[in-house]
Amino acid sequence: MPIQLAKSLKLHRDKVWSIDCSNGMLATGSTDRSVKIIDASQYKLLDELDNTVHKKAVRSVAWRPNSYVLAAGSFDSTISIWNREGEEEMDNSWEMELLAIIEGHENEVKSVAWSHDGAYLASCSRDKSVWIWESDEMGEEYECISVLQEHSQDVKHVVWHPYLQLLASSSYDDTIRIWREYDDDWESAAVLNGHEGTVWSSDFEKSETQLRICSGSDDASVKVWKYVRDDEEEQQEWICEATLPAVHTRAVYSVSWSEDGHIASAGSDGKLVIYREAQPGQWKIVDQQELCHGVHEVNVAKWIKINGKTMLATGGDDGYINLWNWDTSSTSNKNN
Amino acid sequence: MSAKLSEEDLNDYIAPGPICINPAGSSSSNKAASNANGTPSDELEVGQESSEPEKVSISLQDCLACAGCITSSEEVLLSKQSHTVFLDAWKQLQGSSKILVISVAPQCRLSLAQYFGLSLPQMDKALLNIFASVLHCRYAVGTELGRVIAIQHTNEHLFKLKKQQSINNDGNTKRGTPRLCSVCPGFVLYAEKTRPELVPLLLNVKSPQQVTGSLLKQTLPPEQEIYHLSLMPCFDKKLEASRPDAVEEGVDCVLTPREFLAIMQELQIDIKDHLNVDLAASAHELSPPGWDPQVHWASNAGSSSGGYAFQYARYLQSLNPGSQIHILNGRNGDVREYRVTASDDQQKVFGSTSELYGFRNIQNMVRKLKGAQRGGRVVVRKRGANKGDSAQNGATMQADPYEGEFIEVMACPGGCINGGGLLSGESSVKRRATAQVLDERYEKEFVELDPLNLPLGSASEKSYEYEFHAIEKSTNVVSMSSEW
Repeated sequence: MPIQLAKSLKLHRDKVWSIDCSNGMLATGSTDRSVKIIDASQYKLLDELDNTVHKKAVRSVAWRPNSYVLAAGSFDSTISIWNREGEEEMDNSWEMELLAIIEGHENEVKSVAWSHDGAYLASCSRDKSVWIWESDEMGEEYECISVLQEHSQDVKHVVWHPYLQLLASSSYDDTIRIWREYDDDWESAAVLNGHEGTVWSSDFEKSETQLRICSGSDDASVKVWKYVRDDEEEQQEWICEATLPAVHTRAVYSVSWSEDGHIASAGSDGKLVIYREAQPGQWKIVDQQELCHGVHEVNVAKWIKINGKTMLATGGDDGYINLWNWDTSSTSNKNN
Repeated sequence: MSAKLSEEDLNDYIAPGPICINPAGSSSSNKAASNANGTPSDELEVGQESSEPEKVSISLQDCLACAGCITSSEEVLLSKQSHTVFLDAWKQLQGSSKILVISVAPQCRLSLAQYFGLSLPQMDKALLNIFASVLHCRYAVGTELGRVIAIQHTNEHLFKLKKQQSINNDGNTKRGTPRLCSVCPGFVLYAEKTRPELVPLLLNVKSPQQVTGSLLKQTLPPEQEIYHLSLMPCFDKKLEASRPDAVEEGVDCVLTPREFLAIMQELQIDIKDHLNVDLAASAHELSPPGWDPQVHWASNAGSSSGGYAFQYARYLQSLNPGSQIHILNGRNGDVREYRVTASDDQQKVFGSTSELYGFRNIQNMVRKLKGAQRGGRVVVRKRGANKGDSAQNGATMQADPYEGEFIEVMACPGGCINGGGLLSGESSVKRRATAQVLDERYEKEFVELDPLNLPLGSASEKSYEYEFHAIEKSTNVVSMSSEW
């Protein structure tokens, strides 16, 4: 079954920058400075966060795993932390309250992400740095435990590994960097060179047996990188294992790697593309959807899970969130 | 996409401006000037930024006055105080009446010793011999004398502030905001450029590098022309020497051990040829009149970045007989507090001072001090949340630099013993390991003196102060930073 639009939700007055989904709850961030919380199974708007908190666009939103804590990173250089009020009651009322405002970045925050265990929050900014934060038990006070400054330009995106304490950042300097914990600090473990333009986003493979990451770039390509080994200098050696079939005609702004191994990409050309690995290291396009948000650019594409069902969510310059059905089993090749 | 965007419309997909935003005399500085005179506009011209900046030469002074990034100035400063610039100047000295004077920071001596596999006295011998026999240097000094003055002045300044505060507070126990050490030029520049709120907190005592420069000038007759080369553990020390308020001390060139190695290569100096000298004799011979080599080549207890925090704690202890110093570690190895309390009552605190190194800890400090200055926390309290269960547990003491009187802030993680100009290898793993070794050697191998009990006479009566000022961001910079 090809990609099918399940629902189109006009949620924002302006560009949608970011989508995150946890426990069937969608959070979205937009240039209109607001963050919205949607029950994805009922397409129901649950709450709109106080839009006077951020003075500029909300560029990124992220749920802390196994909680109703949300981080929102904004162009106003701050990060806000929210929590569902009275979550213990499990009643129908849904209200997010502000827990903390984290200041530190010199200018626009471009992305925020929680580690798999919720222990760390990573953020990145146009100030070229990646920060790692740790909160107290209440989740109200945040201490910076590392400032990583190896990128030479604007850092666009951060993402954590689904199981390991590994962080990846993508930058305007055309590289992806992998970061790991060392002693009481964090350090650069690898630099992934190969894209010929800004790397807009990356996402780790959800595998416990091998370590790979995919990336989408301004050079209109999607690449897959593979960890090989640690060298003598204790740096991780990564290789570019594959450049996915060229299909995008303009910048790729967002990539997402699903739990069952599919990569989705979307970007400036409005296309949503799904790839599958036919042979190890060999990828083919299994489906694509043109004009996902009409003539508008698509800023984010993300695999989400709603009631156990995998779907795709996209957000565009038109202020819409689109939810897409795609039956992974119908096209998956079980022969190999 | 339209050429004009309102601020709310800010797009993430626009290319950044040029790295250096100090294009003296180019078209964009004209634009800045006109903007500064006119009223600020909500709308930003986006189309203009793609135009290539004109190539203009930038002096080190330009970099200091620019509120842009610190790292982009590195290339410029390297070219202005490079080893080749030194060698050119050095060649000019030969046969002239101008004399070469070299001062060396202790971390540099240790780094070179580690690099060549030598003990510290062996390295000092070789260094002095190279200075004298190859570079024809007239005087060579360690920076401990300058450091002792910096320590004593730090203590006096802090004590004065403490007295003022106790008068103002009328016995109220509330303590003030800690003062910040201004010995690290990396941190001072960061404060001046991007954290203006910290500038009033900088404790205004010059660094050993600059005090040493001043002491040398005070020692030698005014008609004696000198060229002062300073060997320092980090590149930012070059920027310090070229501050407008540091010119008086006459530090002509700052080089790091990495660059000194380049000089050795260029002049084909083999370290082995320089190991057999009488250290005491040559140290004495190269000391300026009245300078005791036992003093200026020594070091003192405390951190390997100068020990300012620890020496202030000792000073507090000396003022409060029967008190004791507790060393409290922070959440990482780069934060340490020295708390001086009554020995029979740990709750009775006479004062406290801390070391705090590295950018991440500086960031937490900035955030904490900002909250303190505002008279409230940055954090928004959860409604109805029950705090205080875990908060006031006095049994264990934890480092809390922000409640103290002084913070020895250093920009590098690990402090000056991890300075970027030291010969600690290229990879971060190697550098970290080397810094650890050097830190251990620092404690063991230097002759320690007591900076609190060293009479210095008239030299210490002079004041050694900077003229700090927050560098205002130009209109040009503001518009640059808002574009994407």
